Amino acid sequence: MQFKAEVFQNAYLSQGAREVHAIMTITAEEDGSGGMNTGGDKLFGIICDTSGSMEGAKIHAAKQAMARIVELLPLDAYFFVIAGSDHAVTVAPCTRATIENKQSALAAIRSIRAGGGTYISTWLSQALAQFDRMPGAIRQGLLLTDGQNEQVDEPRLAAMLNACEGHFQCECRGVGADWVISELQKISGKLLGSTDIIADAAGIESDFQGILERALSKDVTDVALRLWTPVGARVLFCKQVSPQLVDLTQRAHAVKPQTSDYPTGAWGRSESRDYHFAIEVKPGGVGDEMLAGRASLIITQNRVESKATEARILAIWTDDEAKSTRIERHVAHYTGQAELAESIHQGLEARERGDDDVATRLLGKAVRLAHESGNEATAKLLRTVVDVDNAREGTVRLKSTVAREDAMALETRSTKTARISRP
Amino acid sequence: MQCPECDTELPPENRFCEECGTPLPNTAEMDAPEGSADNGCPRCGASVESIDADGYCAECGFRRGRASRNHFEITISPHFAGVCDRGLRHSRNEDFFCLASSESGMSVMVVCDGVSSSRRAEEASQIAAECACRVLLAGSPVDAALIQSQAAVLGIDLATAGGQDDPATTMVVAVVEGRRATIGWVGDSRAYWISPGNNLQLTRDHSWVNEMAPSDAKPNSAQMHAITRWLGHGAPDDEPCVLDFEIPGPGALLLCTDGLWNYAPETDSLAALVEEALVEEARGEAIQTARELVNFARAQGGVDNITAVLLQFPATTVIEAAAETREVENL
Repeated sequence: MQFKAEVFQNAYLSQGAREVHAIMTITAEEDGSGGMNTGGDKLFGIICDTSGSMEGAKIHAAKQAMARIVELLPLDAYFFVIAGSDHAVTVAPCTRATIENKQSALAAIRSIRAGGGTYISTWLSQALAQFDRMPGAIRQGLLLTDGQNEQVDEPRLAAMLNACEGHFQCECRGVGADWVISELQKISGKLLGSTDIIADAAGIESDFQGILERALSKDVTDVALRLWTPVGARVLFCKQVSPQLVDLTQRAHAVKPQTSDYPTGAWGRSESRDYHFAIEVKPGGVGDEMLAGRASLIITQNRVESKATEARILAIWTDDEAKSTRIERHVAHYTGQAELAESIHQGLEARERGDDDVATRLLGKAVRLAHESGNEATAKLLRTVVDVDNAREGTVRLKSTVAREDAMALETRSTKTARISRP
Repeated sequence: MQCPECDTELPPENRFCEECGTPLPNTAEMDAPEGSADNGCPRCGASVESIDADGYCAECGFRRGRASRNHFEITISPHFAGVCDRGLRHSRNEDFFCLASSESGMSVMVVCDGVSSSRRAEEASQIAAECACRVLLAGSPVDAALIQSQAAVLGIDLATAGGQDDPATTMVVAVVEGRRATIGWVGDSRAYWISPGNNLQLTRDHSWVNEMAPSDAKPNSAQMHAITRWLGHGAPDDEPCVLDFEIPGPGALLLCTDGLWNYAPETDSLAALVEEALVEEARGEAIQTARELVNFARAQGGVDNITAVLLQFPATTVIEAAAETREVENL
């Protein structure tokens, strides 16, 4: 497998301008060379809420989904299952997915009963212990819950997340509508995963299968985006903007004074992601040219770093306004997608607190942005919350009754961006 | 122009494709860092090891070479300095200049204007100017410097030579020792003597407008301002134009390219600019005056590259120089 990086930007700045924007597209491709150590061990960990609130249809569907995952695991993969309530119970410890091991895990899953509270820090602590048994593997977790974490567990959860960072990745799913989006997003954000809603417990199995498929498609893990910037420059933000928005700015890990690493997790074949960098540089004079940033992809295997690809971000100062005022197509598109997600987030917040004017304006703006950028998936989700009079102009009316699940789906999925269309 | 990678249509002066970021072919010629003496980053002082293959500094990020080629200044003394600037319309700066003063007190100034219609014009102007400056500092006469510079421009390594667009440049040089100035030129870069009440254009352009009989000249035709002599391939094999000039008193010797004088074609209007700059802005410093002249041309539209080089003779130095000259004569 090999990586390719491409930068899209308008490098031209007007005199005195300092802000450089660039979109970097990184694509992992199968090249047959096998130069990179790919196809290593894969460890899949299931962390399932078994607290009292899961009782009934939810625990039944969750158990079925877990059983299905265990059956589907390839024989050379590794897995574990944790049932979480007041504390974590290791239903199946980290083991290879052989026929015998699957049989005993399936029996253990069948015996799971719901009961107790929700102390997620204990679940993650047990998961960390399991994942740390195979530090060289591609390590993917899956956390399912239906409720809120106990208030008293919050500080411990925050500390546990710091301990888990970099040790494994985790997808978070909330079943039903009684869980808190921001809480799960805190976990999935730190652990390089996404948060999504499974409105109906019947949907758990297919959702879990999708997560397993994506996990199995990964070939290389612990990939970092390394950004060099010149002395005196400041990284205003570094975001993954496709396939979904992930703000990595605060995740910077300083390697050297001018160089920081941003985690990107595991990559699979033919996977492509876009990143948006905004760098503030020392301004140059007309005719000056500057290397405003050098972004590379760093893979760490067996504690050895290797550079997979590199791309440059430039700044050229000009007095030709026709050049400096042009916004590059990719930058414009993803700036719009970020604005779309932000409008939805704030619009839903306004709606929640009963500020209908602000909600109507912001969700209307979101409808317009989704329409303009061809983000059909988000446009569809928006229509569950507002009645659209004119998508192009963004004139909407708030629906009088909206299912809580629909609003939550819009909120969690609004970070999914549309890819830029070919010119 | 089309991007070789993604075929996007681009303005011809672009250095990189706006769509895919691919560097465009005509930039390759500009990438060579100027000069052989390598002192690291001129911006932040980082050592030469910090400069990458493309000229970017690993500390401050600024690119060396190209930026300084687009606008550079040299100050030898408060009375002796020059500025060279890309102007506003051209994507490259094809002007070049060199200044030097020898231990014996000789001042050398060379200004070149690469011919825009020729290939690698910025290279031609630089090679010619550097060659002339080196030869003059070594003590050769001005006509020899012009001849050797011609050879240097012909020496630019080309895959194919002999075409109409081979590298070519104008040149004007001045060597000043005491009160004696020797001026040589090829093409339409000029030397002026600027002094209140006594402004002189010292050189006479090698251009159609000057060399045709007045009756043949078609007013405002493009040909009128075309140069008839240059350094480079196919240059007419004429005797170099050289003249001696005795510095008459306080004033300034100005060398410049047509990027400046086109905006002040009358000697007195150009002189007025110099005097204005001397009085108002510069407090007598040559570099300030040169900057003022370049800024003037930019403010007028800056359609061409602009170079202005000044050697000033304030009242006191003229007296000193005169005294030195007498001493030399007395020996």
